[in-house]
Amino acid sequence: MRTLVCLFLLLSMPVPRAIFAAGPVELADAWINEAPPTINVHAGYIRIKNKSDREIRLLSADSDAYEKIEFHLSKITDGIASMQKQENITIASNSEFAFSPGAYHLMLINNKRPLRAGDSVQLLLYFDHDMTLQVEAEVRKADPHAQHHHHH
Amino acid sequence: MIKNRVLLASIIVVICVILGAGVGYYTSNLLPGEKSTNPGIPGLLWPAPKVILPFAAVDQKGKLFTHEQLDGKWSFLFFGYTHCPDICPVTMSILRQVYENLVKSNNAENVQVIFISVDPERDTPETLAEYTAYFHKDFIGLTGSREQIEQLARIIGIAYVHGEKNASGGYLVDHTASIFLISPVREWTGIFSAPHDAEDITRGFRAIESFVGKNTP
Repeated sequence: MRTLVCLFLLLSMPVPRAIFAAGPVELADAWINEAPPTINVHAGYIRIKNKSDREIRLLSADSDAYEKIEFHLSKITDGIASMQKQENITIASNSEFAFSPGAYHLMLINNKRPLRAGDSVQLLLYFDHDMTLQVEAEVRKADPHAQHHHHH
Repeated sequence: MIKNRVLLASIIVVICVILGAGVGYYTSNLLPGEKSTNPGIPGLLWPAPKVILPFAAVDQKGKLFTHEQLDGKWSFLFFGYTHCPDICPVTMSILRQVYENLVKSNNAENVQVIFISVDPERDTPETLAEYTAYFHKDFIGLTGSREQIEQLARIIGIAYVHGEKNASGGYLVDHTASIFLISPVREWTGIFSAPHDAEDITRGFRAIESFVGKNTP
């Protein structure tokens, strides 16, 4: 039975790796910060939950809407903002990792079509253990209030 | 007797002068050039705000923008670049919120928000026009020659560093994350350090504006 399911999955998917809808890793709240039309570098955010007992690494990401996707960390050190490219992202066992504004983000480079708030973009996330997850990210306007709750 | 009256009158005059001076001091009728002490308002740079020296840059309409355009207005300055996808749009959205707060309370006529590009090669006036208008139609964007931007950064005293180009020609720029507040007499009077919060900055600005208004001779 298990072999049959695997075979079915392999046959039905155009990509060589299997795509899991659910499993040890869950993706939530994927979104892309809408940018002015002339800007072709966007930031994407997502929460990744690792429900397994082993560490999982996010190796790369891909989308038909962008030329390239990198992982970056925004940092403010001594008042200076900088971004550091991350080769991969480690998600500890039974924990959640969040890409969020002002910290880790997906740097989405050169959009191939105009993207406005309300549009959605397919992202493919490639993890180790030969696991690929697909997620739909909504393009939306950032709400500055959403990121700073300490006064409310 | 007459001599005594003159003496008494003189003493009264002296006392009045001393009292008057005291009252004058405490209502902050400061002498020109004199500044009161810092009352501890967060972000207030006082009593020795730095004077912004003359500079020239190009605004989002392609027009000359100089130090003189800072006169008579409170200016919020933020240094960034349009290829910065994370921190810059977050900060610009916060500045929009601050500006909208001030518009709502009729405080905005003497306020301007200026985005200064630390990446003048990629940030043309046209790019900046669309970028700044996306956040608010009133926002100003400054670019210019590499020398002009370097001069402006030196005048404010900020640092920025261009990273190495990658295979596709893209590069990152490290830059100050703070928002600077320049007073209508072109003095650098306030600084808002990251992480930013729109309500904190609005409150901070109102406190600084009111304090400087009362304490400038």
